[in-house]
Amino acid sequence: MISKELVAASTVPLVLSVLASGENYGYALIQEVRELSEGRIVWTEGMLYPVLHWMEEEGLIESEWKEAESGRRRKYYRLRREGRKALESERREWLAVNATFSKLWKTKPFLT
Amino acid sequence: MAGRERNFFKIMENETVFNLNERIGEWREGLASSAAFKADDLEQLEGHLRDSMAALQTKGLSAREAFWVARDRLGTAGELSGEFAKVNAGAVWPDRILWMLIGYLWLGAAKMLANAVSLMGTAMFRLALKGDGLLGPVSLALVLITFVGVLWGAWRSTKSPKGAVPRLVEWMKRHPVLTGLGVFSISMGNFLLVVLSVKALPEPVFITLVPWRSITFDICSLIIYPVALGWLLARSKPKMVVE
Repeated sequence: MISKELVAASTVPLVLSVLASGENYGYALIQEVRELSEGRIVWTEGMLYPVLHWMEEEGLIESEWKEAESGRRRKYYRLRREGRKALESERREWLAVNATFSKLWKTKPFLT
Repeated sequence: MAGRERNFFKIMENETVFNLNERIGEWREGLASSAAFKADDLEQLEGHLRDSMAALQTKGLSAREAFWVARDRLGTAGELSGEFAKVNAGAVWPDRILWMLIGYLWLGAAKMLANAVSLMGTAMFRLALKGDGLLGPVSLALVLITFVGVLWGAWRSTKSPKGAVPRLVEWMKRHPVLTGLGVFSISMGNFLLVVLSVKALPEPVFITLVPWRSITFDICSLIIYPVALGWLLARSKPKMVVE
């Protein structure tokens, strides 16, 4: 299990990254992250929503209620321009840290 | 033999008739009782719960199992209300300020009660002992015991939503005028009590006791107010909480 601090620090960049490929809603976001991390990043699910609200208040993402086939409403989120800029800067930071570790641990860095 | 078998099947039947919507409704009501959630938040959370349950049921869990697992994964009511309160501060702060006001009223009421008990107790003590030597310590002891006792009792009852203090607070929110009148009557009643007890104590004794009591109250307030304020202000941006 990944430490609490890493999980907390990576939440915002993960959300921004997943939304970069298209709009999505809370439950699907969590599933996506769980699958991509092969079960190593497991969020306490309800906690994602306050973070999404905060990100919306900061202007990084915007939301829209849409009606699903079941007749229930779902809140969909998508990236705003400020969100894309924030994503870029997070990317640079995490890659910088990753590159440093790669040199120290002599592993190949994932540079794309 | 046959009778017992029938009972067994009846129990099984009640267990499997699992009223999904009722359970979800209860869970949602539990959350709604906190000021931290807006109606939209609850709708999002319920939608999530149902999506989660649907996915679990396709994996083979029963409706009941899916409910408990999904509910557990969502997070406890305490954790959720803590984090949602940070983003819904607009609704939460008036609620908090009301609690602070009520806390202030409680401190005042506790002080008055402690004063009254102390003065009456000291007066009776004096009649019984026929000597003035121990009046100072007795008065102080009565003040401390009553004051701390009332505050501790009030704090204890806030621990559960069914406690006396939370129910009283709800009543006070719905009847502000009656609350004001109530506070005024308590204050008047206390005043009368003090006047009556003062008659039973000689003036010089009364004059020495009063400052000591004031200092006791002020020292307690000096501790209580900053601690309460610090606890309320210890808030930052919401973060992902993991067990």
